[in-house]
Amino acid sequence: MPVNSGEVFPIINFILNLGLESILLFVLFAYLIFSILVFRQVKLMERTLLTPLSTLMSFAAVLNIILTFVLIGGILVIF
Amino acid sequence: MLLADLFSQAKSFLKNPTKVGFEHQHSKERTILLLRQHLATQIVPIVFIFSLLILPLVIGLVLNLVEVDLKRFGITGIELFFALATWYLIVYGLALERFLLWYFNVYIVTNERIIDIDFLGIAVKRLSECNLNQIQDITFAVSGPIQTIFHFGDVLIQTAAEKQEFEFHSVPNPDLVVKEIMTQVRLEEAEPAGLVA
Repeated sequence: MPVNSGEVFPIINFILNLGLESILLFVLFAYLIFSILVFRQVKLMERTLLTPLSTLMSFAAVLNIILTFVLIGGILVIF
Repeated sequence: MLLADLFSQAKSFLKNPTKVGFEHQHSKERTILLLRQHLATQIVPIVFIFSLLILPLVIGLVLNLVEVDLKRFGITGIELFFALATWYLIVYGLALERFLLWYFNVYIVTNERIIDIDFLGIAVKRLSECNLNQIQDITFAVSGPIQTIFHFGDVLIQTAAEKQEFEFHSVPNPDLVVKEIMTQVRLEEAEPAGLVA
């Protein structure tokens, strides 16, 4: 990667200086919002159509949020 | 047995399904058909998700072939682990969201009415229903080689309800769906007005 690329595109220089862990944190926080939306949607879907698999879907959505928190926590602790 | 029971619900064509309930279901209302889009319509999302799953492996192989060492870019093993974990978490989320949209977008035929439940994306829900005695005309269309091979198609229902057209998109066995709806319409017409049976 050319060192002076940031002179032409300051945003590229900014991103390169952030470091991988900062980018991952940003992505994970954005993903956390998506996960919460999915969970809310599952709850709405579960009210609309109740089948045995609906409960499993709720669990899958909760697991999604928990894993996101675990990764965010892991990055914050280690880095 | 329990798992088999769970996944027997994840089919595109369920006749007289048990353990299925829906919003505003009447006490004596029975679900006759529960329909989803045929699995063949999900081939593109499945291939897309599978591609996302193997993408890091492909990138790893390519980097290995051209002998690029990630440590040269200041990426450590633990950073790589977290990057991969984040990637697979996002793929899991996308797959879950895709499955939810397929699983909960259903068409229901009961002994009283037809119901179309649509979830568009993760923030929009639309529910339309029509009593069986308001149905005027039903047609189905199987078009194209894919629909012919896998035997699925669209069922178009003209009604006298507020929503004048119901379309069951890409449902399996459209001929059986039409036949079953016609049977239920005839049974409903034979009942005294207002009776739920």
